[in-house]
Amino acid sequence: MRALVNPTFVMRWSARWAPWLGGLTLLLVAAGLYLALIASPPDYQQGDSVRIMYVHVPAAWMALFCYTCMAAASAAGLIWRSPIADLAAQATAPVGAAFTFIALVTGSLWGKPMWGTWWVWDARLTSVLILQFLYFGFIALSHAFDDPQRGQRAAAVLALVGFVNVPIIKFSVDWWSTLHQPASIVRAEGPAIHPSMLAPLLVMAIAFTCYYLWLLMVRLQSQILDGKIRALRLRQAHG
Amino acid sequence: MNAEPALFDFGAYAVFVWSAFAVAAVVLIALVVTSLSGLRQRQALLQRLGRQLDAEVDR
Repeated sequence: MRALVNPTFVMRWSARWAPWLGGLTLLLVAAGLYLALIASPPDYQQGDSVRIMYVHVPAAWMALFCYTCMAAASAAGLIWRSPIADLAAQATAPVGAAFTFIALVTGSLWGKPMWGTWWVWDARLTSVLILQFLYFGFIALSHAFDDPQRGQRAAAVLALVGFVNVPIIKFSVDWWSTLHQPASIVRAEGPAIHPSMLAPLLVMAIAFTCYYLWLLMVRLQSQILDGKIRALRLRQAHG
Repeated sequence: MNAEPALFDFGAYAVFVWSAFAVAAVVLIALVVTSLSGLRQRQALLQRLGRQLDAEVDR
């Protein structure tokens, strides 16, 4: 466990496994695209527009998963003063922001032909838009101070306060009347979706998870090198 | 007899489907490119700074 918070260990481990994870991500994305665009059937009501689901739903899941990871890492950074936890939160933020953006745009592209509108200010869509701003706020705040540690602390507090939005997003479709459909995969009665459509959805979800872990490793290495670069520049400045 | 639908022919929804996949691809690929190039740049900068410090110590 102690090795996991040691920057040298994290650096070596990430450098070794990141290329493999990158390769696995590409393979899974290729399989997911084949299933989503070729092998899966059109929906009996939504026709071929249902194929947007294979990007939209995994991206939305990842938006929430990345935020949960970011908040957990922020909490670990605040409680145990773990620099690696702070760096993991910072490395996660842009990936989560990207997935949230994809979920919003693809949702809009799916909403237009199905609902007849690009956007409605209902609970699900609005709370996901707030999630996007929370990611942007986290990124901006972590770079807003000359002292990187102060920025990390301020951003960590924002991540923890903003976590209240995660259950709101998840349960918004149950708590309020909304155009957005309720959960159809993760529910007590089992998935309400045919296996031929569930397969591409799950493959894309696993591909996106691998993508996140791959970029987390790459970006963690960059964050650790940033610290080393700062230390070397300080040594240079002080002769 | 019904003809088999053509591959990648998503009819009236094609523009929405392809736009969704294109946006996702552009965003995800851009993030990979910036992340990997950022790492390469830092590795090169760290090596350069290390060499400069070594040279200063030698002097």
